[in-house]
Amino acid sequence: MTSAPALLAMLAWHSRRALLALAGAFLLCGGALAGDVVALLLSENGGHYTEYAEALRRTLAAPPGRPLRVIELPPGGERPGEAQLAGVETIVAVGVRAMRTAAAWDGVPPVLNVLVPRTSFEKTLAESGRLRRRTHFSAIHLDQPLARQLNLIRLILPGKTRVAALVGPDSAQLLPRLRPAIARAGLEIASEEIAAEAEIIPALSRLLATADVLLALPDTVVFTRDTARSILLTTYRHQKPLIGFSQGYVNAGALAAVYSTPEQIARQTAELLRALPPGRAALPSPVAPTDFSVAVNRSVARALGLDLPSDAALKSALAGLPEAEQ
Amino acid sequence: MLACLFASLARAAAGEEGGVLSENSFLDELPVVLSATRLRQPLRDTPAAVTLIDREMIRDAGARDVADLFRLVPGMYVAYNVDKEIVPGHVVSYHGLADPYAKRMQVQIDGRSVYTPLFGGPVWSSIPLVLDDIERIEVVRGPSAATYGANAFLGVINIVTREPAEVRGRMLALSAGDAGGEAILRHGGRTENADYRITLQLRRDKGYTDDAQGSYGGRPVFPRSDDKSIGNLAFRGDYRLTPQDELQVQFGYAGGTREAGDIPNNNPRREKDAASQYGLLRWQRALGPESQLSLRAYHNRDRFAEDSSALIGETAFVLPSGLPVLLGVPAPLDRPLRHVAERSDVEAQHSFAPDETLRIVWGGGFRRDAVSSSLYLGGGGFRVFSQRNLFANAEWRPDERWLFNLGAMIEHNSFVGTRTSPRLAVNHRLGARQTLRASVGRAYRNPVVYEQHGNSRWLYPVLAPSGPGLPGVLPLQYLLAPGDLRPERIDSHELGYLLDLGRGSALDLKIADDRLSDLIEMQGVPCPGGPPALCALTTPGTVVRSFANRGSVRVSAVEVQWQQALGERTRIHLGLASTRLRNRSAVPPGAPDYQRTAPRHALNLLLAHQLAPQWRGSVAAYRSSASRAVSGDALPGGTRWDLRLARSFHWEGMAGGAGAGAGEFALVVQNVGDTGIREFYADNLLGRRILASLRLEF
Repeated sequence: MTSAPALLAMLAWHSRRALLALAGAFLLCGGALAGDVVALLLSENGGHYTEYAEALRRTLAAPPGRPLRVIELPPGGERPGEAQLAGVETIVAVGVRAMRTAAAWDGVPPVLNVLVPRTSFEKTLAESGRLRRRTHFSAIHLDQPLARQLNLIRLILPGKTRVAALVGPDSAQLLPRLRPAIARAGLEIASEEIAAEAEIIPALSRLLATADVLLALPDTVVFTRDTARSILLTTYRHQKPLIGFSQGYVNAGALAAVYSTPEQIARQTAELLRALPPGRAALPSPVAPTDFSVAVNRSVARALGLDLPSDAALKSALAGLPEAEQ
Repeated sequence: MLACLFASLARAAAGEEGGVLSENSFLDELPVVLSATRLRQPLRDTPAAVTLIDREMIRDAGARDVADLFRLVPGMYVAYNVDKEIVPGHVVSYHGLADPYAKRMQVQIDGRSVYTPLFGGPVWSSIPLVLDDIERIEVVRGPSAATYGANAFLGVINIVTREPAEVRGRMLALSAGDAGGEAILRHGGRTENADYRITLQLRRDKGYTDDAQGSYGGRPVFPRSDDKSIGNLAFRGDYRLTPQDELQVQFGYAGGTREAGDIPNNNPRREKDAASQYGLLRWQRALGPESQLSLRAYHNRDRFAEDSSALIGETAFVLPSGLPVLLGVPAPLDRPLRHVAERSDVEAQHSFAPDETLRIVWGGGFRRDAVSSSLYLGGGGFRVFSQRNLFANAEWRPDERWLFNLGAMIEHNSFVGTRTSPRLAVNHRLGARQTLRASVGRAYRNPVVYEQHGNSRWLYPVLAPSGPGLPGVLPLQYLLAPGDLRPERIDSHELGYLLDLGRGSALDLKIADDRLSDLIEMQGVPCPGGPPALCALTTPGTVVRSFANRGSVRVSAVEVQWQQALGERTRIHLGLASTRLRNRSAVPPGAPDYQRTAPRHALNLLLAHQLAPQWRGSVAAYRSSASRAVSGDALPGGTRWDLRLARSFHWEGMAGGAGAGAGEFALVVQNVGDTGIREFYADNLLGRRILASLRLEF
C-alpha cells in the first residue's frame, strides 16, 4: 500500500529522470552538432582493428573527460558524404589501409592515424600529393621511440654496447635517427643495408660476428613473417640476443621487446581526443605511444645466461628512464 | 591474374600494404621457433662436462669424417680402423674400453639414435650424414642415461643438423686428395609454409693409403684393403602447420661398397655392401612460453652383405684321434651373408615450468629392434626385441646461486628386464663467472644382440679322407652367447669447475671417478674342458666363443678444456686429458686388460686465425701416449699435426642479389710430419695426406 504523497513524490522523481534524459539527449545531439563525434575508419573488421575500436569506445564511455560519441564509417574507399560527417570533429583511421584511404579524401575533418608504423605514416604524408596541413593529418605511431628500445637494451644487457642493425628499404629511413640515438645512449652501432631477402643471412652473419645484440627494425624485406625464423636461428647460432618490436617476436624466440597493444593505443587516443579544444579542427604533431609493455622470453634469457627481472619490473624501470627527443 | 592475387597475398604476409610497411608486422603472431633444443643450455647450467664443436671448428679442423672431430674432445679415443670383422670404420670411445664397435656411447642425430642394435655403436662410415649439414655437436662427457637412456654409458654424442631455413640456395663442394675425392650438392628451398634441404654426396675413399707392409713387433702386418665408395642422400623439411605447430620430416640413405679383409683365407680381401637408411617425423607444439609438447617417431635400417664363399680355401685340421683331415668351405660361409638391423622408435615428451624456479621435462617411449644375421644369429630370420621407457628430469633453481638437476629413466628391455638410471647434479655459482659442479649418477649398457643372443655354428664338409666311420661334416660352434647377461653398470662421480671468460670463452675442469662393473667380455671356452653341454656342440680341439659379465674397472680422470676467442680473429681450443684405468679385480688369462685401453695422457689443440679478410689458417695437434684398445694392438703414442689454409671469395650478381655467390678454396695437410702413427691395429699406418677442396654457395 503506497500513500498518496509517496506516489506523488515517486512520479515527480520519475519525471525528473525523464526530463534529465530528454535534456541529455538534447545535449548529446547539440554536442554532436558542435563537433563531438569521432568517426572511426577501420582497415577491416575484426582482429586488432575491432579490438582497438572496442577499447576506444570503452574508454570514451567512462569518465573523466568530455563525452565523445563514436560512429563507424564503412570500410572501403568511398569518401563519406557530408551527412555522414555531420558533427564529426576527428576521423580516426585505424591501420595503414585506412590511413591511405583517408589520405585520399578531400575536405574532411582532421584525420588521426593509429596503429600505423612511423615510416608508413611519413611516406603516406609525403605522397599525399598536396599540402595537407599538419594539424589535419597526424598520428600516434605504432613504433616505440628508438630511445625507449635502446633503454631496454641498456637495462637488460648492461655492458653490451655493440648494437647491430640490419636495415632494408623501409628501416633504412630510420638510420639517420638511429645513429645519434645510439650515440646518445652511449652505445655503438654496426649496420648493414640490404635490398633483397637472399642477402639477409650473409649480412647478419657478418654483423653478429662482432655485435653484442641485434635490434630488429620493422621492414618489408628484412624483418618479416617469412624471415623471422631464419633470423632467429642465426642469432641463436651466434648466441646473440635479438630485441624484437612486438609480442609476436618474443613468443617466436626473441629475447625481449617493448611494444604497445591496440588497447594501450586506444587509451592514448581517448586522452588525445579529449584534450583537443572542442570545436577546433587541429591535431597535435605525430606522437609515439606513451603506454607500453615489456615482454621477455624466459627460455631464451636462460639459454643466454641472463637473469632478468619480471616484465612488470622492467616496464616500470623503463618508464622511469628519460627518453631524449629524437 | 591468379599470379597477381598470390603476389598481393604474399605481400600482405610480408607485412606490406600498398608498398609501405603495414601494422601487421607489429601485431601479428610469428611462427614460433620451436626448438628449445636448438638453444644450447648455458655451460654453467649443464649437469656434466660438455664439449661443443660448432661449424667453425668443424671447418677449421679440416676433418673429412664426423668421427675425426671427436679427436677434439678431451678424454676421447678415436681411431680410423679397418676392422677385421664386420663393421669397418672409426672407433670412438670415451675413457677407454675402446673396441671395434664403440658400443658404450650413445650417438644421436637430431634426437635419432644411430646405435645399431646388432653390434652396438654407429657404423661411422655409413651414417647418412654430410659434414656440411651439421650445425653443431655436443659431446656430453660422462654418463647421461637419465636423459638419453641406456647406452648413454660413457658419454653422449649429440649431433644437431642445420636448419633448412639457414641453408637456402645451392651449395656445391668438390674435394680431391690422397685419401680420395668427393662431390656434394645441396639445395635449400622454401615453399609458403616449409623450408627444406636436400643433400647429395658421392665419395670415393681410399682409406689408409700408406700400406704398413712387413711386420710390426714380431707380428706380420698386412696392407689395408679399405677403399670405399659411398652415395649419400639426406632430406629434411620443416613444415609450419600453425604458428604453434611444426612438423619435421627427415629421411636419408647411405650405401655403397667397401673393401675388407687382410689375412688370406682367414679374412680374405673382399667387398662388402653396406647401406643405412632412416626416416624421422617430429611434431612439436608450443603450449606456452615455457611449455612444449613433442612427438617423434623414427625408423632406421642398417644392412651389410658380403660373399666370401669363393675366397675361403681349404682348411687342414687334425682330429683328436690324430687323423689329419682336409676341410672345405663351412656353412654358412659357403653362401652370401647378410646382417640386417632395424630399429623403430616412438617418443613423447612434454616440458613445462610449474613456476619460475622449476622446469620439468618428462616423457616416455617405445622401441622395437628387429635383427637378423645369417652368420651370427643362427639363420636368416628376424629376432625381435622391445624396450619401453619413462623419464623425467627436473631443473630446480631455488635462487640465483644454486641449480639442481635431478633426473631418472626407468627402462624395461625384453632381454635384460627393468633398470633405473638416476642422476643428481648440483651447480653452484661463485659470483658472475665461476661455477662449481658436482654430480653422481648411474647408467647401464644393455648387451647388444650379438652378445646376448649370438649363435654362430659352422659346418665344415670333410673333403678328405673319406670312408666308413669317418665324419662327413665337422661342426664348429664358433660363438654361443649365454643369454643371461646383465647390463654393464657405471657409477660415476664428477666434480667440475667452469670459468666463464666472456664472449663464448670458457675454461672447464673436470675430475671424474667412475666405477664400471659387470663389463661384458668375450671369452674362449676350449673344448674339451668347457661345460659338457657346450662342448657337445663342437668338434673336440676347438674353442667356443662366449660372453660373460666379468670385468670391473675404475676410471679416474682429470680433464681440462679451454676454449678462447682472442679478439675477433683468433680462436683457441685446447683439451688435455689424463685418464687412468685400474682393474678392480684380477684379470683372468685371456680376458682384456683395460688398463691401457685409454692413453694415459692426451692433448688436442685447434688454433685458428683470420690472417686477412679473405684468408684463414688453422693448426690442429693431436698427441697421445701409448695405448692398447680391446682386441687391438699395443701401440706407442705419437703426435699428429694438421694444417689448413683457406681463401674465401665472393662474386657480385645483378642488382637485387640474383646471381651473387660466395666460395672458399681450402688446402688441408693431415699429419704434416708423417710421424708414422698407427691406430688400433699395427696395420693401420697413417701417412701424410693432402686434400684440396672447393666450395661454392650460390
